[in-house]
Amino acid sequence: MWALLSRLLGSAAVLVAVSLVLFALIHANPVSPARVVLGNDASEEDIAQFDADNGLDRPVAEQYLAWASRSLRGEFGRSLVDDTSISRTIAQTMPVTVELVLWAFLLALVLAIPLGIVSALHEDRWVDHLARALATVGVSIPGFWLGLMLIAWGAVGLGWFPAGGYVPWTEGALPHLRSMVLPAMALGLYYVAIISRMTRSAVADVMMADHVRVSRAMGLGRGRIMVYILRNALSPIVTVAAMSFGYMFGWALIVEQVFTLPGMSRALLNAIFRRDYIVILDVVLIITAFFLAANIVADLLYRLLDPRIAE
Amino acid sequence: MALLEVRDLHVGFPVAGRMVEVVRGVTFSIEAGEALGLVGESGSGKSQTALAILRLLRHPGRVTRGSVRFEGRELTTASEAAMRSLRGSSLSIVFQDALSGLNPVFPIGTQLTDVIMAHRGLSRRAARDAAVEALGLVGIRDAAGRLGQYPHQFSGGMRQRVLIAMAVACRPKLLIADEPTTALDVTVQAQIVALLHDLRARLGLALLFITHNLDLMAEICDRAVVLYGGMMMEDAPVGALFAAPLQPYSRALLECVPRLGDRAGSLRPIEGASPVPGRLGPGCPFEPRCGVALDRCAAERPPEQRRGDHRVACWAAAS
Repeated sequence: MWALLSRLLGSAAVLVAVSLVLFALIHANPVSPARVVLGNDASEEDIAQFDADNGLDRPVAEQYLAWASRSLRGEFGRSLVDDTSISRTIAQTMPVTVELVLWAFLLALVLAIPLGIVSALHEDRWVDHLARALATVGVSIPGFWLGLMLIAWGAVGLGWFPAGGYVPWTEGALPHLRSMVLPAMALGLYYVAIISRMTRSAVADVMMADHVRVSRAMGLGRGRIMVYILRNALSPIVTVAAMSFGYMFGWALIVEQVFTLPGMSRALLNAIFRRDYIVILDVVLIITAFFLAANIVADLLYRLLDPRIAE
Repeated sequence: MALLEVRDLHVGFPVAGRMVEVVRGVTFSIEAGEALGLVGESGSGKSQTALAILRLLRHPGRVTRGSVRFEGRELTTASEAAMRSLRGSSLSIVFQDALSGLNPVFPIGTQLTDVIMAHRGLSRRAARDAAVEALGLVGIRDAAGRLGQYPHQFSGGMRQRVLIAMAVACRPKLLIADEPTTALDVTVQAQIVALLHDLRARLGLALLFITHNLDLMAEICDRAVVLYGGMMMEDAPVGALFAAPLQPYSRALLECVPRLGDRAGSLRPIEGASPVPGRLGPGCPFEPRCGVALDRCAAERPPEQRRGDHRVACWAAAS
């Protein structure tokens, strides 16, 4: 309980730090969004007027406090550029990103854990070598390139999946799912490599443990021994999986661009091009929050799974 | 027919393309209810002998020659399923790793009942009762209340008791105890040895007690087999071994044991270094360190001679 509280406080501190750094970075580049809104031939007076209307002429610290107090009340505010509600933008784009990450995560777990177990059980045999080689390749391939290769293979070559774009649920479950397959693979395969390697080493470690030898010496069946081993190997696997889940929100932005999915990356890129400060801040902080939440969940699960730490 | 008969047992590990033998022709037997000590320094092959009996040698080690018969049944060629039903039931073992021998993420009750259910065909509830009984047998009080506890909630000595309870829960005929006290405090060592002694009397089990500690061995064993460099040096009743050891190595080993009242600085270690498996000559492995070695000791393996209930492998002791 105390541990959870301290983790939550720590995460809050990280969020504050990230927002401060972002604020500082954004304001280090003194181009006002007024240029975007009012056009290149706007007069200095018009720009000054815009800045004054939106509070952009105040000291940076004051602007930060204004943003922070609004955020603490749970309000996202409105876009400086087109006055749309930021919460609506987020409500439209976040589900796409979250769904992409969930599919990629599911794909990674379903492939990685059996692969890691088989690899550990056949240590140094051909299955293991093959898995290890695939993992090395998997970690080395950049996501955007893998995305392009998947488009060339699954969309252009086989024609089974669309090359990009997003089909909403409302237009049918199958077309929708089909539009998510290649992006989920592009995002998930890297984590298949990461999680399967961790599974392999965790399982192989436990297999060498004294208590496994005792289980064998007591004549337990193979299935029961496997349960004993997996339950022991679970903590590090769960930790890596949960952290991967957090990282995926970052990489999802790139995959969304490759497959032109209308997720948070679109909102973020638009905001960057238009110097829409508040939107940039809010989107980045949401992604940071997902990452931190994944870390806290990893930590909690770790405690839950290991009775030695649970106390 | 003896309960366990080990005959000319060889255990080898392939290293760089050739077989390095760590057990090189060990022969001994244990009668039902008997307590046999298997004595030797580290690397003498005593633990590998135990693991070979249970067919639990670490890959890629294997039995390269010889036979192990338990209740008349050959174990070296038995099926894996037959071995599994034997292990933990009529042929059981306690290891030296008392601290790490229990699975840290399962309550001890689960671990005990799993073993009991694997062999005794009991329901989970009946197995639970049997687990409580087994814990009581090894002197753990309030056993029912401790079934839900995890290994880290037990002290080292208590964990070894739990492991012993697990090993005897299915009433083995032979319990192998492989240096069961090495990881424990001296005071706890004595308790564990007393417990094994007590269990042997109460359950009528035979004991193969593996140790490098001659005093502990003498406390509970009827007979001792001395191993050196993977070979049997001497096999004698404990009294005879202590009173009149025939093999120079046994003699040297007994002289190493410090006695109360010895002058300080009077420790008598065996000169020279322990043998390295794979670098042994054809003769007696103790020859390089032996004070009474003859010419033929390095060249030829000494034959086993029998003198009453005493067996010895030594050229110098040959009459």
